[in-house]
Amino acid sequence: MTQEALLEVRGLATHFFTGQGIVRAVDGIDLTVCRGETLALVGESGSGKSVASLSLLRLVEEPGRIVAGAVRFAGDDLLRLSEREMEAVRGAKIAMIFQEPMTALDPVQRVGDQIAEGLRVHEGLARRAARARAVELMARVGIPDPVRRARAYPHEMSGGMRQRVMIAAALSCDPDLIIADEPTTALDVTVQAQILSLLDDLKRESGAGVLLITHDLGVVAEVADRVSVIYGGQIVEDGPVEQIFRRPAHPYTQGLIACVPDVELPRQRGRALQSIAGSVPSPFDRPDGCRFRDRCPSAFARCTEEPVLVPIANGHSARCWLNVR
Amino acid sequence: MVKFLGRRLAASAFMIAIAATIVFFSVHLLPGDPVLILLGEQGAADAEVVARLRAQLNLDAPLYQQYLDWLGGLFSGDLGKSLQTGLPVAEEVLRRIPRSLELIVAGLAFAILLGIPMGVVAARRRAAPAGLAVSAVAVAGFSAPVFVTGILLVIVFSLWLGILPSSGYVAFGADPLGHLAAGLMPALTIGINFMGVVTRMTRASLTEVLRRDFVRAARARGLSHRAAIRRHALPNALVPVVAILGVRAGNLLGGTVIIESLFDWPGLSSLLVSACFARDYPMIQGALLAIFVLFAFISLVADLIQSFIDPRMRTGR
Amino acid sequence: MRSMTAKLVRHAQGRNLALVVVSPYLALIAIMAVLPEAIAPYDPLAIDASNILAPPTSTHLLGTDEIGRDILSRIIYGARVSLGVALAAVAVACLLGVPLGVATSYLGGRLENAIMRAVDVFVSLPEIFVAIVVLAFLGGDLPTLVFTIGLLYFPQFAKVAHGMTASIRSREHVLAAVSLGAGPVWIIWREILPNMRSVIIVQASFTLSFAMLLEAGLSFLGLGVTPPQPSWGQMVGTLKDYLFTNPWPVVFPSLALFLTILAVNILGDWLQDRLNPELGG
Repeated sequence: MTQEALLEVRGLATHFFTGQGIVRAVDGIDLTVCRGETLALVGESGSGKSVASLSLLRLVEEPGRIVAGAVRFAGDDLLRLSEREMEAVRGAKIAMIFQEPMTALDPVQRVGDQIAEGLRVHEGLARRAARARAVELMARVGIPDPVRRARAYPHEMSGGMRQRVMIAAALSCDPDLIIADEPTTALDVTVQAQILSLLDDLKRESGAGVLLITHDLGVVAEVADRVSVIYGGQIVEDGPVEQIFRRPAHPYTQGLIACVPDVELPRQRGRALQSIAGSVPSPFDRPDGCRFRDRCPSAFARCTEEPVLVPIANGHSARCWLNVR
Repeated sequence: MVKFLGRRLAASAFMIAIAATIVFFSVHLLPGDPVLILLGEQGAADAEVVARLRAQLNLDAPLYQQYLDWLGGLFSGDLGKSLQTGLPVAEEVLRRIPRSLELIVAGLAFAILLGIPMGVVAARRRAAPAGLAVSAVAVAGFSAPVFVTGILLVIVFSLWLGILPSSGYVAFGADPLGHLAAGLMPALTIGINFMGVVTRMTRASLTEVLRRDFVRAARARGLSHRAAIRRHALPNALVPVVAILGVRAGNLLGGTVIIESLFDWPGLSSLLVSACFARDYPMIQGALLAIFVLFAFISLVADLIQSFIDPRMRTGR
Repeated sequence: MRSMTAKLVRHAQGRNLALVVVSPYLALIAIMAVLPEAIAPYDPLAIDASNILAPPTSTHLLGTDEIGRDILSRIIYGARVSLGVALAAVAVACLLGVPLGVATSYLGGRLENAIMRAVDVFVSLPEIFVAIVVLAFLGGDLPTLVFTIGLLYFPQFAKVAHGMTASIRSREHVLAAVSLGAGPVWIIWREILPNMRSVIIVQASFTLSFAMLLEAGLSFLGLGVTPPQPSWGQMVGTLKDYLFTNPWPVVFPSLALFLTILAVNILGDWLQDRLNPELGG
C-alpha cells in the first residue's frame, strides 16, 4: 500500500471547558487517511471518537475547543483556515454522514432540497438545476422513484431511506473525504448491510477516502482497511485491519474483539473476555498513567506510568507496556 | 391541506359553540336580576311592570329555552338588543371588531418583527453582553403591566414631546393620519408587552433546536452559522412558538382590555367593560362572544401558519 | 482558554447575582405586606389637605395623591393586596389543580380524556375577560378576588400535574413498585408528589406573576378591592387621570408593580434553571 495521504491529523486535542472542570475529550490523537482507503476509528461511547470527527470539520461547539494539533488536508492545515475558507471545505471537500438520519435531517424541509443544499452553496446552482441533480444523486444511492421521493419530508421515509438521503447529500459535491459517524447504528440489521455495501461501492467509484467512526467491530471487519482504536481521548492501537483482528496488542482492543460474537480471537492466558469490565472512566478523574488500567485484566505495576504509542510490526502500533519488553 | 383546513375550521366552530355556551351560562348564572336593576327601586315595586319587562326581555322563559333562543339567534346573526340603547347588539359589536383587531394585529406585527430577531440574538449569544441585554429587555417587557408601559409612553410622547395624543379615537375615514396617530401608542403598548413573550419563547425554542443534529449537519454541508440558523434552525424553532402563541392568544392578549380603557379606544373590550357596569346583559354576551371569536380566529391563523411551516402538521401525524 | 473559563465563572455568578439582588427586594415587599403599620410613615387613609398631588418632598417622600394621602404609605399598605391576593390565588389554584390533575390520571379512559379536554378549553380562555364579567357582578372584596383569580389559573396546574403524573407512573421503578402491590395512595405520596414538586414550584412562581398582573389589571379597571383600601393597580388607575396635572404620583405605584413582577419573574427563571434545567431554555 503506497498511497498518498489525504488527511493527516497530528496531535489533535479538543477540550471542553465546563463548570466542573476541563474535559480532555480528545487528547492528542494522530490519524491518517489515504485516498480510496477506509480508516475505522473505533471506540466506546465517551471515548472521544465523535468529538474527534467534529473537530476535523471544526464543528465543535462551546464549551468545547480545539486546543492543539494540526489537521492537514489537501495541502492546508484546516485548523489555520479562516471560518469562510473552512466553510468552502465543509460539504465540498469533506462531507459528513451522521449517526441518526432522523435527527440529522431537517424535519420541515423536503429531502431533495436538503440534498441540493450543498450544490447551491458550493457550486452556486440555481434551485431548479440543484433539484435535478438531487434526483440523480437519489437514484445513485438506490432510492426508488427519486423524482417523487425528492419532494418527500424526512418523516415520510424509512430509516434506511433517510440514511441514503444523508449519503446522497454527502456525495453531492464529490468530496475527497467522507466522514461517517456511526452511519448504521440507528438502522435495522438487514438495512445496515445494505448501507455499508452502498458506502463501499461509492468509495470505490469515487476514490474518496472514508473515515468511519464506529463502536462496532463487526462493521469494521466488513469495510475497513485500517483501524485506529481510541480510548479516553487517546489512540491506543493503530494498524491494518487484519493485524488488529489477528494480533490485537492492546488489552482494550482484545476486549472489544471478544465482545464480537463471530470474530475469532486467539485465547490468551487461557481466558476470553466476554465483555470489558467496568465502564469508560469519567473524563474528570481518569487514572494517571495508562487510562485503561482500572479495567485492564493484565494491569501491572508499570501501568501507573503513562504509556506511549510504540510500533509492534509494520504499520501496527499500540499504547501498552505489555508490548515494551 | 384542504382536509386539514376543513378539520381545523370544524374545530374552530366547535370552540365557538363551547364559548357561546360558556358565555350564556356565565352571564345567566351570575347573581343580580337585570330587570330589577333596569327598573330601579321604584319600578321594581310594581309587580306588573316587572313581569311585563321580564316577558319583553324573554327572561320569563325557562333557562334552557333562553339558551336555545340565544343559540338560534346566533345562527341568524341576531344577538338581541341592548338594554341601554335598544339598538341591535350585533351592529355595535361588528362596528367595534375591526377597531380591536387593528390594535392587536399592529401590536403582533411589531412584537414578531422585533421579538424574533431579539430571540435569535439571545439564543446565539446567551452568555455575551448582547444576549444578556436582550434577555433583560424581554423580561422587563412582559413584567411591566400594560398600563405601566402605556403610561410611560404617554408621559414621553404626549407630556414631554407632545407629538401624540394621549387618548381618544379618530375614525380612519374622517382623518387617516389622526387615526394612525391615535392608534400608535395603544398598538405599541401591546407590541412591547408581547415582544417580551415572543423573544423569550424564540430564545428558549431556538436554544433547544440549535443543539439538534440537523443544524450541525447543515453546517457540515458548508452553510455558515448564520445561514444554518436562517434556513434550518429558525423555521423549526418557530413551530412551537407559533403554536403557543395560537393556543394562548386569549391569555397573552388580555392586556388589550386595559389598553382600550387607558387610551379610550372604543373597541370590543371597552364595550364589554361598559356593558358590565350597566348590566346590559345582551351586550355583555355579544361582546364576550365576539372577543372569544376574535381569539379563536387568531388561533386558527396561528395553526395555519404552523402547518405551513411544519409538514408533519398537515398529514395529521 | 483562560478567558473561556473566566466567562463561565462570570456567567455562573451572574445567575446567582440575580437571586442576590432579587431576594432582599422581595423580602422587603413581604415585610410591607405583613407589617405595614410598622414601616409606613402615615395612615394610608389619612388626608393631608394642604398637600394635594404633591411631588416628592421631605414630609411625603413619594408625594401625595389626588386627595392628599401619602403615596409611600399607600404603596406599603398596597403590598398586602397586590402580593397577598396573588399568593392566595396561586395557593387556591395549586390546591385545586394538583389533586385534580393527579386524580384524573388515575381515572383513565374516556372520563380522563373529557376532563383534560375541558381543562384545555379553560386554559385557553382569555382569563381577564372572564374575570371582568365575574367581578363586575360579584363586586371586588378580597375573597372574591382571590377565588376568581385562583379558579382561573387552577386548570394550568391540573394540566401540569396530569402530565407529570402520567410520566412518573410510567417510570420503571414505579411500575415495579405497582407490580409488587404498592397501592395508588402509596405511589402518589412516595413517588408522584415528591417528583413533581420542583415542576409545580416553578409553575407556581410563574403563575404568581400572572396573578399579580391580573390583579393589577382588574384593580386598574376599578374591579379589584373596594376603595379606600389601597392596591397598586388601583392607585395607578386613579392617579393616571391626573397625569397632566402632576405625573409624579402615578410613577411610584407603577414602579412598585413593575419591579415586584420583574423580581418574581427573575426568581421564577432562577428556580427553573435550578430545579428543572432540562426544561429550561
